[in-house]
Amino acid sequence: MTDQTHSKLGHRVRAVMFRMPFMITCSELELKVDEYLDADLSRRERWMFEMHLKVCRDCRSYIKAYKRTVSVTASLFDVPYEQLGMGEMSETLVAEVVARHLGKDTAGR
Amino acid sequence: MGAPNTTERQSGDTSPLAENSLTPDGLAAFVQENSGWMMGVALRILLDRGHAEDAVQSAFSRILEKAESFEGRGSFRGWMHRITINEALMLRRRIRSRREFDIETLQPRFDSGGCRLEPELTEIVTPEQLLGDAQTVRAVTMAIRSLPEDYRIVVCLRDIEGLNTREVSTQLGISEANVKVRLHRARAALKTLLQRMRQEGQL
Repeated sequence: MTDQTHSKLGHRVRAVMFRMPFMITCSELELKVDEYLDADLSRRERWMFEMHLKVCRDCRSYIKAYKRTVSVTASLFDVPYEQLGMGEMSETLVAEVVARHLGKDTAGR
Repeated sequence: MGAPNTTERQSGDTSPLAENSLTPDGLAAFVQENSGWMMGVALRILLDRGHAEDAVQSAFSRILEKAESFEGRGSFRGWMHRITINEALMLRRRIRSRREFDIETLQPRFDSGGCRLEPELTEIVTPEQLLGDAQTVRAVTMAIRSLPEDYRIVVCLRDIEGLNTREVSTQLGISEANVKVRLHRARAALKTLLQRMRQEGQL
């Protein structure tokens, strides 16, 4: 049996399983991913979500990669701007801000 | 889930801009100390160094004007963070002109029975790998940059800058439901892009 045939058969078996009571399909799970990660699902929804994950390897891998994507993206917050690959900050920025503010300040007095 | 928003963790701060710090030297030190991370925020939103510098300059003006009215709700740095985001978004509204592509091509696919159709899943870099390698930072930044603008900005504000759904909704003038939909589609697309880049050896 080739991998492709095996995969098609696996999909058919899962499609039948996902029609059973209290089961959801992968596409239904997709709609709840963020609420699951934010712990915003009701107890019943969470139970159904996790029941699906128990029987679906593709969705387990998907959720793992999805969570990793969110955490890697969030970690950009801690990257110094010089490493964002968009060039150096102008050397005159500090001087310009000071001049602008003090000029205004002096004018206001 | 949210960004590692270290600027938001303290509360009851007072303004470091006391009267005596408004000497040229005190002011220069204050600007020097904060311009780096503020440039980071503005660059992530605007994707252009020149525009980011303009936004940071405006943010400093606003901060210096309003410092006396800072009420100590949350940290002073958190307050500065919000102002920097506001200024960058205001500038973004004026200069926005990026080519957008169809995000559908990067979404997960399902068969007629609702079963997931995923190509072989590839590992995605970890945050630790990202923080230790400038090339990885550039690759992930490039992936985010290649998202359609309406989606990229939601990921930027929600996942990187750590704003909550309601705040993003207010900043962008779209409904909270729309923020959630865009965020999910953007994260899913980004996952596909990062896996693709890994397969192609760019990550």
